[in-house]
Amino acid sequence: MSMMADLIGGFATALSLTNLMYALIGCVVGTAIGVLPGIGPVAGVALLIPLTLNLPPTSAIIMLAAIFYGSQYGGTITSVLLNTPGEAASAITTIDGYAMTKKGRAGAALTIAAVGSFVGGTVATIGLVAAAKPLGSLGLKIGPPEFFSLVILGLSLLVCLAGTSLTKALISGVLGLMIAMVGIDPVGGAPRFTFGNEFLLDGVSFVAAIVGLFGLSEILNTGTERPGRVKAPNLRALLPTREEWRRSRPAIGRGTVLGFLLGLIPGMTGSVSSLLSYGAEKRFAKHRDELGHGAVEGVAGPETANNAHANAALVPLFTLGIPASPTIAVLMGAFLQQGLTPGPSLFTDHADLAWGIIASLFIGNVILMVLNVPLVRVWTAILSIPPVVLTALILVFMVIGAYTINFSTFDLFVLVLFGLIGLAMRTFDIPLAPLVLTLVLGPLMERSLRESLEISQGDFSIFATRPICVVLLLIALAIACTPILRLRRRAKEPVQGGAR
Amino acid sequence: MNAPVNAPENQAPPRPRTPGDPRSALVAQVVLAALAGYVISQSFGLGLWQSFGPGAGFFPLVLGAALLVLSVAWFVQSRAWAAPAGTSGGVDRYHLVTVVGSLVVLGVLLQPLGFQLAMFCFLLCHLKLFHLRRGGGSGWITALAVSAAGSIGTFVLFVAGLGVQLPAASIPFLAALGL
Repeated sequence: MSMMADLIGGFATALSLTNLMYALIGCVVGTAIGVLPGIGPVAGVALLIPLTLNLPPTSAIIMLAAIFYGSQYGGTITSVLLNTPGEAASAITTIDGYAMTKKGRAGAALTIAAVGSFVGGTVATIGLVAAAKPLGSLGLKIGPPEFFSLVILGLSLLVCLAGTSLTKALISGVLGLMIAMVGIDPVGGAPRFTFGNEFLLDGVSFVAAIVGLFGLSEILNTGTERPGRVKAPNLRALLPTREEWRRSRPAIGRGTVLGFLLGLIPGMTGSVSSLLSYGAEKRFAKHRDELGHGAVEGVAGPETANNAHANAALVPLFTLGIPASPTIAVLMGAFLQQGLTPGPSLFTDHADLAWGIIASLFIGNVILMVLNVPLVRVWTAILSIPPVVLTALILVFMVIGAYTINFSTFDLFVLVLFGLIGLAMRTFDIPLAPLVLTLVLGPLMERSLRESLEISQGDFSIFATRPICVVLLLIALAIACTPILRLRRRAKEPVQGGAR
Repeated sequence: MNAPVNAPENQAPPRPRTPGDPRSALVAQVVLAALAGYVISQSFGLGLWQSFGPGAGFFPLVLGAALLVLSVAWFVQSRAWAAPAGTSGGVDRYHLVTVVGSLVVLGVLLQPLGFQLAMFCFLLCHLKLFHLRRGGGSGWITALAVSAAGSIGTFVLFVAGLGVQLPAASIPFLAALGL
């Protein structure tokens, strides 16, 4: 079947009333998560996995994907109106977005951000469509050794998620792998580190752990700080002027290209895309001297880039099964929870589902643009809810999220334990992202390695004799070596300086 | 002319600082090393190698060893770049204890009292009691309304609307009341 026919089939799935409704709910909930301070997209997506447990897999993933990209837009609203980014990728938007608000142009900034997000997201989804078929056809050539190599490639990205300290990033990654080892050994069937507790036989609940690490620890860390007061723009002020449209067009174009290309690189975060896009505007925008004082290019470029990035980051997940960021790793966890393994085989084993989700990305982008600009007053109203009430309600959803995965109160204690672990990690500046990555990929790595060795009867050379394995492992090695090269370069710098 | 000893140009460049005070960082390093030691000791009992490759204990052994090395590396780095005492971030201990404590109590009471009653009490405590000391508590009407919506409302939404089961009371008297 041709790619076009696949996509049309996907639209037929995504446009069913049920799936359309879930995409809409996902966009609304995602935007709300983006607006809310203290609950980022990682915890937000993890928290809402239980809502999708009784849904068909396609509807469940459509809704969770919509929450993911909806949260990207929600972060913009607080950046522009409050000078407080709802999530990291929107941080740079505060500079010109908030300056536009002070000039009375908040509505125009939000509209242009929405249009830029739509363009960036749609172009990135077209890129996903183009990449899906050729990379998806690899599915037929992927056996356990190739899958193991892919997982190793995914794990090598851990070095890209290291913040200021590689040691701490590795500690985080190793902890994630250790947590993933808890439960029944995938090949031998023996219980590991279960302490005789039957609730741990299936391993540590992924949702309870992620919600604890990202959501509860954030609540424990920040308490109930009150966000600033916000005034929503009226409907007439939402329309940008002709000049603002004209100026934002090149910025949207540049942001789309940058965001899409950077989104394809696993380990690259959305904040890097928006930062580099702002840098590009500083260099190439016609009115670059106005940047920092409420220039529309400073909103259009970064907002387009971070949405193009978010959609492009789905390309490695769908085609190779590599989670490029912590949120995508949680989304991958949701796939696994539904009994689906993202990667090349998704397009051969579950083509209807894969194309349905891709089509829903196009629809979701339209929904976000149509809904969010007129509803800006509703989103800003969320911020007027007292933080004490908001925190209490978020805790309710955390409890439900943790409980309903296994219908066990034991998972509430897991939630609390991981909340405290997350708080300790934040206190010692140990990054949380590597832990999520290894928590998802750890069991897949172990299973595929041991299956590979069963095929080869214990001979490790199986990984050196299969071309796909060799290529993937070499790329992984190159990525893993980047910090060493960086250190060598840094070590050389003072010597050169001294010689001069 | 010689620059004074304390002039900025004579000072060493600032080094990266370890967050958290050194004593608690040391506790964290010891905990990680102890965890690594435990995992290594258990891995031998799980079997390290089978006829066709690694056994159930192989990966835990490798990970335990890695964690041990990394916790030592962190210790060495934090000694080299030690931050002055008292630089740890200010976590609100009252908030920490009330949130963690109330979640643990909720976990214990959820099955006997059922979701609706246990969650109602949990929310009411959060909205009315725990924030009084800091003057951030809600009014009674708001607290009761939010507690009812967060407990009974979400119960109805999940059980009737989404078909997701939430715990009902195991105490017969409460179960008879529909809790």
